[in-house]
Amino acid sequence: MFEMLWRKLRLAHQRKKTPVSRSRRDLSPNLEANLTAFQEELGASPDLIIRRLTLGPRPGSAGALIYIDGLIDKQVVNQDVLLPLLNEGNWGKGQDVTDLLGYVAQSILAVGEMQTETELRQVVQGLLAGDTILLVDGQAAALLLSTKGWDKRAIQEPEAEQIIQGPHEGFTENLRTNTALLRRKIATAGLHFEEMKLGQRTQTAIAIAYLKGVVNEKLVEEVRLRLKRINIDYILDANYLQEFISDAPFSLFPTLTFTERPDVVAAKLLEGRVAIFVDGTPVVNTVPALLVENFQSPDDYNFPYYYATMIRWFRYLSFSLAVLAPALFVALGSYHQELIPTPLMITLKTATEGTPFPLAIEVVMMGLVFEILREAGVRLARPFGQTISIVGALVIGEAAVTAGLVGAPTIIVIALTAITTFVVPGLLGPGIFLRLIYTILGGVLGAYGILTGMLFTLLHLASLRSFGVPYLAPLAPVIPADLKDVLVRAPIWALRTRPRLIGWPRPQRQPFGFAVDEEEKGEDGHDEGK
Amino acid sequence: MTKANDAGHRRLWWKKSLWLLLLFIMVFTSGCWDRRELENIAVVLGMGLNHTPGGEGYEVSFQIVRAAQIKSPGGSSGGGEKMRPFWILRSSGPTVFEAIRNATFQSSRRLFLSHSQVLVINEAVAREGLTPALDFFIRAHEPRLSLWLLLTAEDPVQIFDASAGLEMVSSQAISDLLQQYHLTSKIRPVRLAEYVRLIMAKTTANTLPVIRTIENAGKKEFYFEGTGVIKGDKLVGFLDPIETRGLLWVLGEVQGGVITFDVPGKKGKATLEIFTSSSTVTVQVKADKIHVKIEVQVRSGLGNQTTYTDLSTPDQFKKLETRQAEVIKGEIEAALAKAREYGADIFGFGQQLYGHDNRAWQRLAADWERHFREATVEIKVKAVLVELGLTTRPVLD
Repeated sequence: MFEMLWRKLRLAHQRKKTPVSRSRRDLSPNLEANLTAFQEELGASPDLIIRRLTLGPRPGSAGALIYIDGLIDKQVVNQDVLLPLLNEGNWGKGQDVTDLLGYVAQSILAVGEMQTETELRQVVQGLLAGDTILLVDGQAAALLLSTKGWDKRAIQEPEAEQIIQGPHEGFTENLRTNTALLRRKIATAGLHFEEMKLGQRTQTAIAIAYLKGVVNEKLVEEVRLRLKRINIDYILDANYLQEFISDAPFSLFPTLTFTERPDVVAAKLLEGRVAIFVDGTPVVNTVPALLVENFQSPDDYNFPYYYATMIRWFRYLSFSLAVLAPALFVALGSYHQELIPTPLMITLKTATEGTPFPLAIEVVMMGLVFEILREAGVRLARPFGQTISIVGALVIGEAAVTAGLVGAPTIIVIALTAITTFVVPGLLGPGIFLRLIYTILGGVLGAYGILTGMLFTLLHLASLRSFGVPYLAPLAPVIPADLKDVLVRAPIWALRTRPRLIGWPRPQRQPFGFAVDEEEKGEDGHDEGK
Repeated sequence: MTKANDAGHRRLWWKKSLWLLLLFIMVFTSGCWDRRELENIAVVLGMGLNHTPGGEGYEVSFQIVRAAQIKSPGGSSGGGEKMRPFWILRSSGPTVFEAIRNATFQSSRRLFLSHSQVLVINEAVAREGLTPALDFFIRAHEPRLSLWLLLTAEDPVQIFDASAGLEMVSSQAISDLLQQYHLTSKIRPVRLAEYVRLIMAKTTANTLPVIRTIENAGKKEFYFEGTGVIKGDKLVGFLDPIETRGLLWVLGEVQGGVITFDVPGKKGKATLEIFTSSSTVTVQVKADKIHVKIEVQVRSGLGNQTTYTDLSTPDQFKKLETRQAEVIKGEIEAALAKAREYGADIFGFGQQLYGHDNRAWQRLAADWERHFREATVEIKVKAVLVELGLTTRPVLD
């Protein structure tokens, strides 16, 4: 049903799409005309700096340096652009240059990256990206000097994805910093980046990263295709892309994974996945995504295998508890009292004696209260934090029980769910949503309702695919070789093969054993890249 | 997209929606809707069965947990007089089921029978026949087959009224106590399921433990004493505790308990603790004469002695073993004598024959009571003493 709706939406969308074609406008040879054109395009913004200057051997021709204040590195502009241009000694040998811009570019400027453009809009784009523009009277071209430099956040550990052991750096909002962080992890020529601009107004830089030789080329092609089809005027975060290119846009479950950690992205690329960077956000998407990825943490690989395996199972347990505990509690408490052992049943009964609401209402209510508290805690200015904990814990929890409005077991169940939900952050949304649905089903139909709900969830999960890979793999379809990193976390030396459905172009990570002879050194991805 | 294709999609969409709708209807209209809130049910822990004082019909008594009276930690129950943590309710009707339903005239909450632990049956009801009385408990979905069955000569309410000792509610105490029967092996606890199993094995007689109240320092307490023998579905007589153990020896259900006797040739007694026992019963039919062989093996340890002699010599051990075997044999014979007197095959000899020589059983089953009485029974007891506890010889020695 959703698919149908989606298809219709997409169709309507395609029909409406009108090509945004504004006529091409070339630069004029007249400097003044060009400067007027710039001011027309950008308005009278005070951060637009136009520095007029005289270039070339005397008497020289009029020129202008244009840049946006705040987007450029002033040091570079002053020292490496302005200074050489104004130094008359530099012009000594260029007595009769006809192509002044070409000469400046070749012999004078101490800037590494530059290009010549003749189209106004392209030049403006460069200007807005932090380039400095050099115009010379008499030439219908502009020199774009890469002088990007703006204030950016330092590299920090992502707050939402903390780990105990291992690298503590995280991505930042700056695309170039992020790609560099990744390069520092994977120093092979096989690591390729492809950049494109998306968002008609934001012109956000998007980068696709993959490991040539390991990645499935068709996957890269598919990512490219899906990204190119995006027609949107602004992109502010990775989720904008995610909602566009997701296989199942209406599903509760994310068919793209996201992370702020370079080590996670590196590991995923090395498995044969593709990463999508978005400029302006530290969040990086990787595809294809599997359900089990949400239960894996970078810490799993930084701790011994037995501990990692144990912790992973705690995560599975926690997620099941987070989703099912209130539902089962409601079902047992209002339908299946015979299933509770007698002493426990009497204790529960004693605790709920005299509470005015049905158990289901109690649980849903307290669950809502908890969600609101959580949301408030996230949005709140830090100094108010204490208020929330006092109101939450004392007033709502303690007082509600003492006043006999809510049974103490309900609070315990809600507290348990509250804690367990955060163990699997990747499935926070689906977890909370499913919990609510299951609780209502448990309150309306008992265990039968919960089972029905679970059945539908399972059906849905089994139908999902992420970039061609079954979402439940390697559990359904069962891929025995891949269970080594799902049911357990096998020792690193035993993780010899990449996930079958993702890294199949080069399934083997490493040969068995310790010996590395000269022949096997050729196993590096880039040597045999297709 | 062509028009035909569009129509095809619409058809498909309708088909999908229809299936989904059907699925939803199927899911949400089946199953039974019986929501009952935890706080709105009356949890029955024990039930009693008696005849109505007038005669016809049954009186069912319930021991219901009064949850509000069970002290919850944190909630301070300030003023108000402290009531007992349970409520006893009597209700009567022409049948058990109707009697139970009639309880709703008195109880503000629906009775919830699934957590019932015990069913105490008055002897008068048992003498008349248990089948009409127990039919409801076997048929209905709420009471469980794990219900403990008990016999009493008194009004069942008296049992519920007795002190529960360490527990809150006497039914819970009785249930817990029955599960520890192996500490003495002088009771044979029977669940409803076991009763049903045996009553379906035509020739075997059922036994039910007997409970009564005793006065102890002005307080009423319950006490287990012996076993009632149910032939068919009617109570015919009783076994005393020792005879009950005699029965348990044959069934191989003695898994503990102590056995005390005079030390042979010495002044004083020895108490042996039984660790494990097993039994083998073979039933053979020769010329329509039944011959039963009972072999019992017991492992036990010396737990207590009141003689001053050192009993830890191999010689003394032999003597103790022999004596113990004799005592056990005596217990079995006592039980056998009672069973013969009642003509009730409590040992399940018939069932044994049914399994091993079905043809003979077919022939003899009709007149099993006579055949059982006339059966020759050979009892062999092999007792082994395996330890003496932490001391090797008496401290005084």
